[in-house]
Parts: sequence; C-alpha cells; structure tokens
Amino acid sequence: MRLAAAVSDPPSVLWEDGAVKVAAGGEGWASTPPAWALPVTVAGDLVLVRQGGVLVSVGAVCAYPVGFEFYLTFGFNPAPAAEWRARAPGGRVLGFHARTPHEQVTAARIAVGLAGRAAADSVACMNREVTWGEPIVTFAGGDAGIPSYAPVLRAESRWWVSPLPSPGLVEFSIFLHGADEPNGTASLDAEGILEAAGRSQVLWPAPETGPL
Amino acid sequence: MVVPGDVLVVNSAGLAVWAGAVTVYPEGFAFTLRVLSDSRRAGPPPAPWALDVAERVRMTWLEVCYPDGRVRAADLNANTPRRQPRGPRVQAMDASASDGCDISRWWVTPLSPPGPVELAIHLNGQKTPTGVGRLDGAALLRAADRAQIIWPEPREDGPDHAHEDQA
Repeated sequence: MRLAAAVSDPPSVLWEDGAVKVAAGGEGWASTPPAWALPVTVAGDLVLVRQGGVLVSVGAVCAYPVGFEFYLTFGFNPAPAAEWRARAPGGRVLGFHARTPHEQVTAARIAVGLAGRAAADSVACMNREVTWGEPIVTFAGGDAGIPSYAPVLRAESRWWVSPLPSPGLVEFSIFLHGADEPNGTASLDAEGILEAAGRSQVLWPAPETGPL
Repeated sequence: MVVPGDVLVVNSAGLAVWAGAVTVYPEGFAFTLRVLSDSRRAGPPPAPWALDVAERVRMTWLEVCYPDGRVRAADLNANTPRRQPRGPRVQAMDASASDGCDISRWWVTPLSPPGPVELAIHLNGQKTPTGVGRLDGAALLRAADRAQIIWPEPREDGPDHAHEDQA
C-alpha cells in the first residue's frame, strides 16, 4: 500500500501537529501541508481556461503522505479590449475571499474532485469548520487575488488538498467571478500523485500531543 | 512548464531545506524553498529571511550560482552585487512561516545556460553555505522551449528596481 510506505508503522493513537493529524492504519488526512515530510513534485501543467484574455492553469503538484498541494496560476490580458473586463465588475480582477456580500457574489473558487470521493470546494472550506477526514481544498499561500490597480494582472496561489485521491481522475474546476458553472475544468490521473506521495520522505514523527 | 527535479539543499538532524515546484517560463523560472525544523531538535529554529543586506550577518539568505560563473545573492528585498546587468536577478515572490516550516517562492531571471544551477542557502547568517542544491539547467532550458507566450505583459521594473541592473 502506497501510504504505508510513506507513513510507516503509524502509532496506535492519533498524532497531532498543530492541525495535522495522521490516523492509525495508514489513512492520512491533514488540514494543512505537514512540516514533517518532504513533498515530491509532479508536473500538472493543466490549462483550465484559455479564452477571453484569461489564462488559468495548474502547474506544480507537490505530493505528501497525507495529501497534495497544487499551484494555481491566473493571468489576465491587460489589453483594454480583453473580454474579461466586461465580466469583472468591482475593485478586484480576481479574489478568493468571500467575506462581504459583494465578495460573496464575485469570489473565485476552485473545486477539486477526488477520484472515489466527494469534491472539495475552496469557498465551502473557507466558510465553516472542516471535519477530520473530509475532502478539503484550502488556501496554502501565494496571491489571494489581483486588485484592479496591479501593474501585472497575474497571480499564483497554492492550495492544499487532503486526503490523497483514490486511483482514477482528479478533476480541477475553476469558477470565476461568482459563476455558477465552471469556466474551465481539467483532469489529472491520480496515479502520478499517489506514486509521488509514496516517495515522499517522512523526516521525523509529527509532534505527539497525546491521544485525541 | 514544471520541472519535477526537487533537490534537498540541507539534510541534517531535525533540519531540512527543500527546493522544488520548479516552474519555467520563457524568461526565467520560479522555485519554492521549504525550511523545515523539528521542534524537538536542540537549538533555536532557523532565523527568518534577511530583509536587506545588513541583516545577512544573522538572518537567512540565498545565493543563485549559474554554471558560467555568474552569482547573485538575495534576501527578501535586495540583490548583491547591486548592479549586474546580465543577471541573474533573484526576487522573492512570497514568504510565510509557521511553526517548524518557512515557505518562500523565488523568481530568477534570465534563464541559465546549460549546466547545474546552484542554490546555496545561508541559514542564520552563516558565511559559508549551510547547504547547496543543484537544479538541472539543461532541463530548465528544455522546459522553456515548451513554454508558450499567450500575450505580452508590461515590464514589472518599478522604481524599486530602476537603479539596479542597468548597463
């Protein structure tokens, strides 16, 4: 079993590293990327959107024993005639925050469909507490948006997904400016992520804070 | 285009520095550094990144070395030598830290000639590198050949950089 190779001989109790938890039996889940393992990069290089002066792509995918991180890049053509301008009202070209009423109807969101599990949604994970083991996609760093005054209309962000997918396809869907339907979707074979997760090196045990 | 060759820059008891998520564009490449430390190891955790040259005596900083001999040192806000028209220029794109993990993303331009691209990290102001990792410069060039320019972007050279790297 791939997970068993990366998280060898897990203890009979749950370990906790901040919000990171690794369950006994090799099934791993964490709410943030672990600080006790080295990721292994695989090339995503998926184009989700390339039209209307908008480019959205998934680049590097970094696999861990308990999930994976992916890099999401946005580019907006700065040309005045670019089609995206008509569909992006308000003071931001792109934003993932959904706090104010205006943000809630204009926020971008990314959804990840894990093979064999329910899809995870960035906005859903932002607005409520997640429960242990449920599929999540959470912001892990980088640019959370692009203001309209930015000199270059480009952003790169990192997103954390846990648990690892089952074999099959991992589907990325992007919803821009509060869209109900995805503006673009692309898929990646989970096998590459699982193989990389199996090569992820556990550096040291997660700090143990006692049984939950 | 992503180049999957991750490198372990530092690997010692309770301490590791990883470089990866290398992404290549026609004019340069980005990479991520993860500085990981075990809270149970003896001694203080690695110092945060230096904000400027003066802080490099006690904080963490980086050097990028090209196979043709060009070397550039970088912290979060400065490159040295200050003027080096042929680069490489090294720019922090993003940096954040939490318990036991410091994550930073760096942009390097222009691309290197073929050969190893060295990433040397100086933790806690050490004069000699704490560790060196080597990226495959030829792999970066091959990836750059496959990258596509979709539309031209304005140059990002703002006032902060106007005095640097001019011939």
